[in-house]
Amino acid sequence: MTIPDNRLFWLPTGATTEQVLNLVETTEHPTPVFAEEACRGQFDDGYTTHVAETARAGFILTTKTAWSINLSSLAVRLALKTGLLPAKWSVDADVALREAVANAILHGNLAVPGLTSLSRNLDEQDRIIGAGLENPQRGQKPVMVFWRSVSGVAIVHVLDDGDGFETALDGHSPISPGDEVISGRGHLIMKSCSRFQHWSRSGRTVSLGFPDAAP
Amino acid sequence: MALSHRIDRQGSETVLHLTGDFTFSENKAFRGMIQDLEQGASSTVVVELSKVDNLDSAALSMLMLLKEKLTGRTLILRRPPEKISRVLEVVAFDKIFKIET
Repeated sequence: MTIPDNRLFWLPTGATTEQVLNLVETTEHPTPVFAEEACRGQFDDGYTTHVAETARAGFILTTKTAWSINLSSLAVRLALKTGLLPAKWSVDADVALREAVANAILHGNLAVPGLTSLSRNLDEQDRIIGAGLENPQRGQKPVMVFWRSVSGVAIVHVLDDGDGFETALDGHSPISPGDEVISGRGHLIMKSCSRFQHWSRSGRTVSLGFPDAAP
Repeated sequence: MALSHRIDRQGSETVLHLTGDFTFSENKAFRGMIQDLEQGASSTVVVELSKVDNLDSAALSMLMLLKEKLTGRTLILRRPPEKISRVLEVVAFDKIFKIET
Protein backbone atom coordinates (compact mmCIF):
# COMPACT_ATOMS: atom_id res chain seq x y z
CA MET A 1 0.00 0.00 0.00
CA THR A 2 1.31 3.39 -0.86
CA ILE A 3 -0.24 5.93 1.45
CA PRO A 4 2.14 8.90 1.66
CA ASP A 5 4.11 8.90 4.89
CA ASN A 6 2.87 12.35 5.86
CA ARG A 7 -0.71 11.02 5.99
CA LEU A 8 0.13 8.00 8.14
CA PHE A 9 -0.06 8.24 11.91
CA TRP A 10 1.23 5.12 13.58
CA LEU A 11 -0.51 3.67 16.61
CA PRO A 12 1.24 1.43 19.10
CA THR A 13 0.20 -2.21 18.97
CA GLY A 14 -2.76 -2.75 21.25
CA ALA A 15 -3.73 0.93 21.38
CA THR A 16 -6.73 1.79 23.55
CA THR A 17 -9.85 3.73 22.55
CA GLU A 18 -8.65 6.70 24.60
CA GLN A 19 -5.22 6.71 22.94
CA VAL A 20 -6.73 6.57 19.47
CA LEU A 21 -9.34 9.21 20.28
CA ASN A 22 -6.64 11.52 21.61
CA LEU A 23 -4.67 11.17 18.40
CA VAL A 24 -7.78 11.72 16.26
CA GLU A 25 -8.65 14.87 18.18
CA THR A 26 -5.16 16.36 18.12
CA THR A 27 -4.07 15.51 14.59
CA GLU A 28 -4.38 18.52 12.32
CA HIS A 29 -3.72 16.75 9.03
CA PRO A 30 -6.79 17.11 6.76
CA THR A 31 -6.66 13.54 5.41
CA PRO A 32 -5.13 11.34 8.11
CA VAL A 33 -4.89 7.55 8.18
CA PHE A 34 -4.28 5.95 11.57
CA ALA A 35 -2.49 2.65 11.32
CA GLU A 36 -1.33 0.12 13.88
CA GLU A 37 2.35 -0.75 13.75
CA ALA A 38 1.54 -4.46 13.49
CA CYS A 39 -0.24 -3.85 10.17
CA ARG A 40 2.83 -2.55 8.32
CA GLY A 41 3.17 -4.28 5.00
CA GLN A 42 -0.18 -6.08 5.09
CA PHE A 43 -2.93 -5.71 2.47
CA ASP A 44 -1.74 -4.83 -0.97
CA ASP A 45 -4.34 -5.99 -3.46
CA GLY A 46 -5.34 -3.48 -6.14
CA TYR A 47 -8.74 -2.57 -4.77
CA THR A 48 -7.47 -1.97 -1.27
CA THR A 49 -4.64 0.17 -2.55
CA HIS A 50 -7.05 2.24 -4.61
CA VAL A 51 -9.40 2.78 -1.67
CA ALA A 52 -6.55 3.62 0.69
CA GLU A 53 -4.93 6.06 -1.68
CA THR A 54 -8.15 7.90 -2.46
CA ALA A 55 -9.51 7.89 1.09
CA ARG A 56 -10.08 11.11 2.95
CA ALA A 57 -9.36 9.44 6.29
CA GLY A 58 -9.24 6.01 7.85
CA PHE A 59 -7.96 3.33 10.17
CA ILE A 60 -5.87 0.21 9.65
CA LEU A 61 -5.89 -1.99 12.75
CA THR A 62 -5.30 -5.57 13.68
CA THR A 63 -8.39 -7.65 14.36
CA LYS A 64 -7.43 -7.95 18.00
CA THR A 65 -7.24 -4.20 18.47
CA ALA A 66 -10.33 -3.50 16.36
CA TRP A 67 -12.22 -5.91 18.64
CA SER A 68 -11.07 -4.22 21.83
CA ILE A 69 -11.68 -0.57 20.92
CA ASN A 70 -14.79 1.34 19.89
CA LEU A 71 -13.79 1.53 16.23
CA SER A 72 -17.14 2.59 14.79
CA SER A 73 -17.51 5.59 17.10
CA LEU A 74 -13.89 6.58 16.48
CA ALA A 75 -14.39 6.36 12.72
CA VAL A 76 -17.52 8.50 12.88
CA ARG A 77 -15.70 11.02 15.06
CA LEU A 78 -12.91 11.14 12.48
CA ALA A 79 -15.36 11.70 9.62
CA LEU A 80 -17.09 14.49 11.51
CA LYS A 81 -13.82 16.13 12.47
CA THR A 82 -12.52 16.12 8.91
CA GLY A 83 -15.81 17.63 7.77
CA LEU A 84 -16.69 14.74 5.49
CA LEU A 85 -19.78 13.37 7.22
CA PRO A 86 -22.72 15.71 7.84
CA ALA A 87 -23.63 15.76 11.53
CA LYS A 88 -27.17 14.65 10.75
CA TRP A 89 -25.78 11.20 9.90
CA SER A 90 -23.69 10.77 13.03
CA VAL A 91 -26.06 8.41 14.86
CA ASP A 92 -27.00 6.30 11.85
CA ALA A 93 -23.40 6.09 10.64
CA ASP A 94 -22.24 4.90 14.06
CA VAL A 95 -25.01 2.30 14.27
CA ALA A 96 -24.48 0.99 10.72
CA LEU A 97 -20.71 1.03 10.95
CA ARG A 98 -20.81 -0.91 14.23
CA GLU A 99 -22.47 -3.80 12.39
CA ALA A 100 -20.08 -3.60 9.46
CA VAL A 101 -17.03 -3.67 11.74
CA ALA A 102 -18.43 -6.55 13.79
CA ASN A 103 -19.03 -8.52 10.60
CA ALA A 104 -15.51 -7.82 9.35
CA ILE A 105 -13.99 -8.98 12.62
CA LEU A 106 -16.19 -11.93 13.44
CA HIS A 107 -17.47 -13.43 10.22
CA GLY A 108 -14.55 -12.10 8.17
CA ASN A 109 -11.17 -12.32 9.81
CA LEU A 110 -12.07 -14.69 12.66
CA ALA A 111 -14.38 -16.90 10.55
CA VAL A 112 -16.90 -17.21 13.39
CA PRO A 113 -20.06 -19.00 12.21
CA GLY A 114 -23.44 -17.42 12.85
CA LEU A 115 -25.48 -18.48 15.85
CA THR A 116 -27.87 -20.49 13.72
CA SER A 117 -25.00 -22.54 12.29
CA LEU A 118 -23.84 -23.20 15.84
CA SER A 119 -27.30 -24.33 16.97
CA ARG A 120 -27.42 -21.20 19.16
CA ASN A 121 -24.48 -22.47 21.20
CA LEU A 122 -23.16 -19.18 22.60
CA ASP A 123 -20.41 -20.85 24.61
CA GLU A 124 -19.04 -22.40 21.44
CA GLN A 125 -19.22 -19.04 19.69
CA ASP A 126 -17.30 -17.42 22.56
CA ARG A 127 -14.70 -20.17 22.38
CA ILE A 128 -14.20 -19.65 18.64
CA ILE A 129 -13.88 -15.88 19.07
CA GLY A 130 -11.34 -16.25 21.88
CA ALA A 131 -9.29 -18.78 19.94
CA GLY A 132 -9.38 -16.60 16.83
CA LEU A 133 -8.21 -13.47 18.63
CA GLU A 134 -5.27 -15.35 20.11
CA ASN A 135 -4.43 -17.05 16.82
CA PRO A 136 -1.33 -15.28 15.40
CA GLN A 137 -2.71 -15.42 11.86
CA ARG A 138 -6.36 -14.50 12.39
CA GLY A 139 -5.91 -12.10 15.31
CA GLN A 140 -3.32 -10.09 13.39
CA LYS A 141 -5.29 -9.82 10.16
CA PRO A 142 -6.09 -6.19 9.38
CA VAL A 143 -9.46 -4.50 9.61
CA MET A 144 -9.58 -1.29 7.61
CA VAL A 145 -12.10 1.54 7.69
CA PHE A 146 -11.75 4.23 5.03
CA TRP A 147 -13.88 7.27 4.34
CA ARG A 148 -14.21 8.71 0.84
CA SER A 149 -16.37 11.39 -0.73
CA VAL A 150 -17.80 10.47 -4.11
CA SER A 151 -20.28 12.73 -5.91
CA GLY A 152 -21.54 14.27 -2.70
CA VAL A 153 -21.89 10.98 -0.85
CA ALA A 154 -19.76 10.10 2.15
CA ILE A 155 -18.83 6.46 1.68
CA VAL A 156 -17.29 4.35 4.38
CA HIS A 157 -15.54 1.17 3.26
CA VAL A 158 -14.94 -1.60 5.79
CA LEU A 159 -12.43 -4.16 4.58
CA ASP A 160 -11.35 -7.45 6.08
CA ASP A 161 -8.99 -10.21 5.04
CA GLY A 162 -11.25 -13.15 5.73
CA ASP A 163 -12.59 -15.89 3.50
CA GLY A 164 -15.40 -13.76 2.02
CA PHE A 165 -18.99 -14.87 1.55
CA GLU A 166 -21.80 -14.99 -0.97
CA THR A 167 -22.64 -11.35 -1.76
CA ALA A 168 -26.15 -11.99 -3.02
CA LEU A 169 -27.50 -10.16 0.04
CA ASP A 170 -26.87 -6.84 -1.71
CA GLY A 171 -29.98 -4.70 -1.39
CA HIS A 172 -32.16 -6.88 0.78
CA SER A 173 -32.17 -8.30 4.27
CA PRO A 174 -32.95 -11.93 5.12
CA ILE A 175 -35.29 -10.79 7.88
CA SER A 176 -37.85 -8.02 8.23
CA PRO A 177 -38.39 -5.50 11.04
CA GLY A 178 -40.37 -7.05 13.86
CA ASP A 179 -39.49 -10.66 13.02
CA GLU A 180 -39.26 -12.70 16.22
CA VAL A 181 -35.99 -14.40 15.36
CA ILE A 182 -33.01 -14.65 17.69
CA SER A 183 -30.26 -13.36 15.42
CA GLY A 184 -29.51 -11.94 11.98
CA ARG A 185 -30.46 -8.27 12.36
CA GLY A 186 -27.04 -6.84 11.43
CA HIS A 187 -27.81 -6.56 7.73
CA LEU A 188 -31.19 -4.99 8.45
CA ILE A 189 -29.53 -2.35 10.63
CA MET A 190 -26.92 -1.51 7.99
CA LYS A 191 -29.62 -1.28 5.32
CA SER A 192 -31.87 0.94 7.43
CA CYS A 193 -29.16 3.28 8.70
CA SER A 194 -27.31 4.00 5.46
CA ARG A 195 -28.57 5.16 2.09
CA PHE A 196 -26.83 2.42 0.13
CA GLN A 197 -24.84 -0.73 0.79
CA HIS A 198 -22.53 -2.56 -1.54
CA TRP A 199 -20.43 -5.65 -1.05
CA SER A 200 -17.27 -6.30 -3.07
CA ARG A 201 -14.02 -8.31 -2.96
CA SER A 202 -16.17 -11.48 -2.63
CA GLY A 203 -17.83 -10.16 0.51
CA ARG A 204 -14.64 -8.91 2.16
CA THR A 205 -15.59 -5.26 1.72
CA VAL A 206 -18.83 -3.50 2.54
CA SER A 207 -19.37 0.10 1.50
CA LEU A 208 -22.05 2.22 3.13
CA GLY A 209 -23.20 5.56 1.74
CA PHE A 210 -24.42 8.72 3.47
CA PRO A 211 -25.56 11.58 1.19
CA ASP A 212 -24.87 15.33 1.36
CA ALA A 213 -21.18 14.91 2.12
CA ALA A 214 -18.70 17.71 1.89
CA PRO A 215 -16.95 17.70 -1.53
CA MET B 1 -16.76 0.87 28.14
CA ALA B 2 -17.43 -2.63 29.45
CA LEU B 3 -20.97 -3.55 30.38
CA SER B 4 -21.85 -3.59 34.05
CA HIS B 5 -25.14 -4.21 35.78
CA ARG B 6 -27.16 -3.95 38.95
CA ILE B 7 -30.41 -5.71 39.75
CA ASP B 8 -33.05 -4.03 41.92
CA ARG B 9 -36.30 -5.57 43.02
CA GLN B 10 -38.89 -2.80 43.36
CA GLY B 11 -42.38 -4.02 44.23
CA SER B 12 -43.69 -6.09 41.36
CA GLU B 13 -40.74 -5.13 39.13
CA THR B 14 -37.29 -6.55 38.82
CA VAL B 15 -35.09 -3.89 37.24
CA LEU B 16 -31.86 -4.73 35.43
CA HIS B 17 -29.79 -1.53 35.25
CA LEU B 18 -27.20 -1.69 32.47
CA THR B 19 -24.23 0.67 32.08
CA GLY B 20 -21.72 0.83 29.21
CA ASP B 21 -21.53 -0.82 25.81
CA PHE B 22 -24.00 -3.63 25.20
CA THR B 23 -22.36 -5.22 22.18
CA PHE B 24 -21.01 -8.49 20.83
CA SER B 25 -17.98 -8.46 23.10
CA GLU B 26 -20.27 -8.34 26.15
CA ASN B 27 -22.37 -11.39 25.29
CA LYS B 28 -20.82 -13.51 27.98
CA ALA B 29 -21.35 -10.84 30.65
CA PHE B 30 -24.99 -10.47 29.69
CA ARG B 31 -25.59 -14.20 29.83
CA GLY B 32 -24.36 -14.08 33.42
CA MET B 33 -26.87 -11.32 34.07
CA ILE B 34 -29.65 -13.45 32.61
CA GLN B 35 -28.76 -16.19 35.08
CA ASP B 36 -28.88 -13.67 37.94
CA LEU B 37 -32.23 -12.42 36.71
CA GLU B 38 -33.81 -15.84 36.44
CA GLN B 39 -33.37 -16.32 40.16
CA GLY B 40 -36.43 -14.81 41.76
CA ALA B 41 -37.45 -12.44 38.99
CA SER B 42 -40.75 -10.64 39.50
CA SER B 43 -43.72 -10.86 37.15
CA THR B 44 -42.38 -7.77 35.38
CA VAL B 45 -38.75 -7.45 34.36
CA VAL B 46 -37.43 -4.05 33.27
CA VAL B 47 -34.19 -3.57 31.36
CA GLU B 48 -33.09 -0.01 32.17
CA LEU B 49 -31.14 1.25 29.17
CA SER B 50 -30.60 4.94 29.99
CA LYS B 51 -26.90 4.43 30.72
CA VAL B 52 -26.15 2.19 27.74
CA ASP B 53 -23.83 3.95 25.29
CA ASN B 54 -23.89 1.53 22.37
CA LEU B 55 -25.95 -1.48 21.38
CA ASP B 56 -25.60 -3.78 18.37
CA SER B 57 -27.36 -6.70 16.73
CA ALA B 58 -25.69 -9.15 19.11
CA ALA B 59 -27.27 -7.30 22.03
CA LEU B 60 -30.62 -7.58 20.28
CA SER B 61 -30.06 -11.33 20.13
CA MET B 62 -29.34 -11.32 23.86
CA LEU B 63 -32.59 -9.46 24.52
CA MET B 64 -34.47 -12.02 22.43
CA LEU B 65 -32.87 -14.81 24.47
CA LEU B 66 -33.85 -13.01 27.66
CA LYS B 67 -37.43 -12.79 26.43
CA GLU B 68 -37.37 -16.52 25.72
CA LYS B 69 -35.99 -17.29 29.19
CA LEU B 70 -38.62 -15.13 30.87
CA THR B 71 -41.63 -16.54 29.04
CA GLY B 72 -44.79 -15.71 30.96
CA ARG B 73 -43.36 -12.55 32.48
CA THR B 74 -43.69 -9.02 31.13
CA LEU B 75 -40.43 -7.64 29.75
CA ILE B 76 -39.98 -3.88 29.37
CA LEU B 77 -37.11 -1.96 27.73
CA ARG B 78 -36.96 1.37 29.53
CA ARG B 79 -35.49 4.79 28.69
CA PRO B 80 -33.25 3.99 25.71
CA PRO B 81 -31.01 6.95 24.75
CA GLU B 82 -31.24 8.37 21.22
CA LYS B 83 -28.72 6.05 19.59
CA ILE B 84 -30.23 2.97 21.23
CA SER B 85 -33.75 4.10 20.30
CA ARG B 86 -32.65 4.32 16.68
CA VAL B 87 -31.49 0.68 16.70
CA LEU B 88 -34.70 -0.49 18.37
CA GLU B 89 -36.70 1.52 15.85
CA VAL B 90 -35.12 0.11 12.70
CA VAL B 91 -35.61 -3.49 13.84
CA ALA B 92 -39.15 -2.67 15.07
CA PHE B 93 -38.55 -4.05 18.55
CA ASP B 94 -41.71 -2.23 19.63
CA LYS B 95 -43.58 -5.11 17.96
CA ILE B 96 -41.79 -7.60 20.20
CA PHE B 97 -41.17 -5.71 23.47
CA LYS B 98 -42.88 -3.04 25.46
CA ILE B 99 -40.63 0.03 25.20
CA GLU B 100 -40.96 2.88 27.68
CA THR B 101 -39.25 6.13 26.73
